[in-house]
Amino acid sequence: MSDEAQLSREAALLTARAERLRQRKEAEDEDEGIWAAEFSLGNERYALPLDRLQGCQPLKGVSPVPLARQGVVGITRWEGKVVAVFSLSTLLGLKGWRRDPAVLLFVSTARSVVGLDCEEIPRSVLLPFQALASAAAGRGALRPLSLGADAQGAPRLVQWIDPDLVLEARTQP
Amino acid sequence: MNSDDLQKELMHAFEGEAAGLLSQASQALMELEAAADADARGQLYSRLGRCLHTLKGTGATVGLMDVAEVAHKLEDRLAPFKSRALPLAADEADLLLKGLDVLRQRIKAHAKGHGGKLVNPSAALPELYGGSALGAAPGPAPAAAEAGAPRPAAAAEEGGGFGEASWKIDEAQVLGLLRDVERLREHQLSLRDRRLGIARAATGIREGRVEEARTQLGLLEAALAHDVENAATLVELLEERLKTIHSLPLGRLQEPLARALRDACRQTGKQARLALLGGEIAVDKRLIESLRGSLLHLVRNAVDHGIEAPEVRDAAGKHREGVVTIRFEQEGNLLLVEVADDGGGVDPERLRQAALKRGLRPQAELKAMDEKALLELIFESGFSSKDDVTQLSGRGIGLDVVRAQVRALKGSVELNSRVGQGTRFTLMLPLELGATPLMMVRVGAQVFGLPVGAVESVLAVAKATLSGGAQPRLDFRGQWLDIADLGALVGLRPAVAPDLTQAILILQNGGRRLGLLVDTVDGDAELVVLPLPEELGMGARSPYAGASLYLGAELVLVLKSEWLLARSIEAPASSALSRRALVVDDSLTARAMHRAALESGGFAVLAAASGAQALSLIEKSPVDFVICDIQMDGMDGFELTRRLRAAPATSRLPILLVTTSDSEEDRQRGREAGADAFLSKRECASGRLLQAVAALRER
Repeated sequence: MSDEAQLSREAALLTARAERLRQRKEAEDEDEGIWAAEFSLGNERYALPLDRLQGCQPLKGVSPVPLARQGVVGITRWEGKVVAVFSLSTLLGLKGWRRDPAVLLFVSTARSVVGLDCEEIPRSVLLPFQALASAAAGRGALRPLSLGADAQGAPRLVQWIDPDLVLEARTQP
Repeated sequence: MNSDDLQKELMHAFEGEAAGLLSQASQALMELEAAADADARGQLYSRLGRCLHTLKGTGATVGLMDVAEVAHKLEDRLAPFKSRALPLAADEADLLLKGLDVLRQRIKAHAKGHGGKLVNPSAALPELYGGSALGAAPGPAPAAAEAGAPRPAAAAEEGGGFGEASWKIDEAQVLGLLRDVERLREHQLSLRDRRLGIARAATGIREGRVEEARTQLGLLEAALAHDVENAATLVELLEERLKTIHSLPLGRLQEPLARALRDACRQTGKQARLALLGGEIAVDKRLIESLRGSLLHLVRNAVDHGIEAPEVRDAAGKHREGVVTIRFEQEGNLLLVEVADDGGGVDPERLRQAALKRGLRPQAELKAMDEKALLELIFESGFSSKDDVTQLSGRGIGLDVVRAQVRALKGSVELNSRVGQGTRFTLMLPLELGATPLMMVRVGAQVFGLPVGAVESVLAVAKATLSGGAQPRLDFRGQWLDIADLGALVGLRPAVAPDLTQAILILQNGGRRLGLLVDTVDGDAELVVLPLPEELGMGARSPYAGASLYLGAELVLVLKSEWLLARSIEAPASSALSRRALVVDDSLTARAMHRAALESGGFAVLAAASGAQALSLIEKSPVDFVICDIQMDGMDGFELTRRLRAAPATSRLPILLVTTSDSEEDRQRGREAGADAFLSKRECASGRLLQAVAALRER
């Protein structure tokens, strides 16, 4: 790639980034969004409400539970209690993954806190209510959110996770 | 501290001491009633005399002259019997026990600051002060005259608590905690030194003194390893101390329960004795307090409704004296309490008639009820099968309250009964605190705990006598026992034949025995068993009683012995041998995800966390194909493949390598090692795992 082409590409990236930041600022100013924890899993990006995220740590210290149902990775301790750790990919019905999960998220649900494995540390993003409202019409534990375009102009899609519904569907005896 | 505060403190200390003395005195009195031997009586009189004398002296010291006076009167009353070690008649024991009740009530009233409302002790105990004659069975009349005083029959229920809402800590325990704080302070200082050492090493690196920093860091690493051990010891010590502060042995209930039984027998003219088993189990003292009322009621109920009159028992061929057995057993984080009697049992038909008479249910509904449903009626408010209402029970209250109390403790209560043979109430209560003695065992890399109470014996396979054949049995004290492989029972591996390095635990529960094969036995450990989260969805049929933190690091699962015994006689799960996969991956979540994918394809899945573990598993139980991660610590996937190919038994075993990277170099190395197929985890993400496995098996 020539220097000129490289400069032009970088300029486009910076312009797009500036535009995203302006949008984010507006959204924050107008209090028109909801903070979410966004991360990638397999080939897609996912988000869950940030206020549900209680903690995040390296994925270790999990003890397997033989004879547990599918999706259960094991148990671990969190703030003095034993919590169940689930494979998020399995809960979401994904068939595989890109890289081995290395992060353990502690997520509060309607009943308690559970651990969910994850490929990376989530980043906090403000998702506009507008996108959430359009997804609200959908049903189920997972709802696609359309968040405009990314820096390369490609549609930016995030799967919105409802932790309660995801677990409810998978942990019924 | 002003004089009021001092008096309160003294009173508080005396209340605790007096509760113990009164309990000992009461126990001695009940034993005296039954003691046939003069020597034994002499010792019991001495013990009783010491208790009364101490109560008198200490009561006077804290200014409770009425207490000192009653204790003195009781001593006087006892003197002629004591001097010649005479048998103690039941009437006399009634009076002395009533005197102890009055003392208990008065001390309690003083401790609560209600001492001024108490009437003269002579009014509460006219017999002791030379008033009316002896002979009255224990009942509510005289002592109830005291303001706020409970009737003697309920004394065991309301008095003599073990600390009620507050903890009582003795001097040694406080000093122990202070020592622990000092140790923690030392630990804190040593950690601060380590931090300074790290800062110095960092400065050294910045300034180019790398060798010096390296040495410094090496020393720090060793010191920190020591700190970690030290911290673990401190945590253990603190846990231990807290346990001794908040726990009490259940045997503390012996005296009040024996007293309730004795008084109930005196009132009904029946004969019974109490047998208490498992009294050494220590649980949270708040639980003992909460259980006390329910157990007292169940004991009185057993005498009033269960145990027959001596002549009826005679006619039925039973011993004239009935037995009420209370058995405590801890199973993981559950406390099981059984209150059983060998009386006449509960007749479901009588319950049906009683319910009909009281209009508790429509006739048609009662007619349709089976035996179990009829027995449940006994727990309903307002229910009594007795026509006459007695002071003990049959008042239509009681068992409903027992059930409510047990439910308030998040427990449950069950009734089993056989007409003519007896009745058994089983209470199951969750334990929040309290350590459980566990036997720690290993199967492969997994550690499990088993309640020590369920393990009768531990044998090394090398020293055990086994029968031959495909399913060997164990000769245990002349009895041939089935052997079950723990690894197979919990699905970690197919059943393996015992080998000389393994051990067999003799499990027993409910009269059944089983030889449980494990790889190694770590030994005993006293651990707190925490409940498993509901989200695991394992329900009531879970194999696990809970989980415990073992060796200060990892959670280990605590197995239920009854589950193991039941599982061992179930038909083994049908998993076609041709569909058995072994997943080898050092990532726990990767194993879980492969397992989910493969099980959805109908495969039975075994898992190994390392190459070495995989080799050991395959040696013991053949598999049909292997899915192996490449990047693993120790032996990587290439090396495992090479080793499998080198062994004649696995030289043609289909092997699929998976990896997060997708390089041609890795594929080439995989082929050279002897792998049959290669899949990137990205391809796994596209759902290609099952297709790849199908292609592999068609080769």
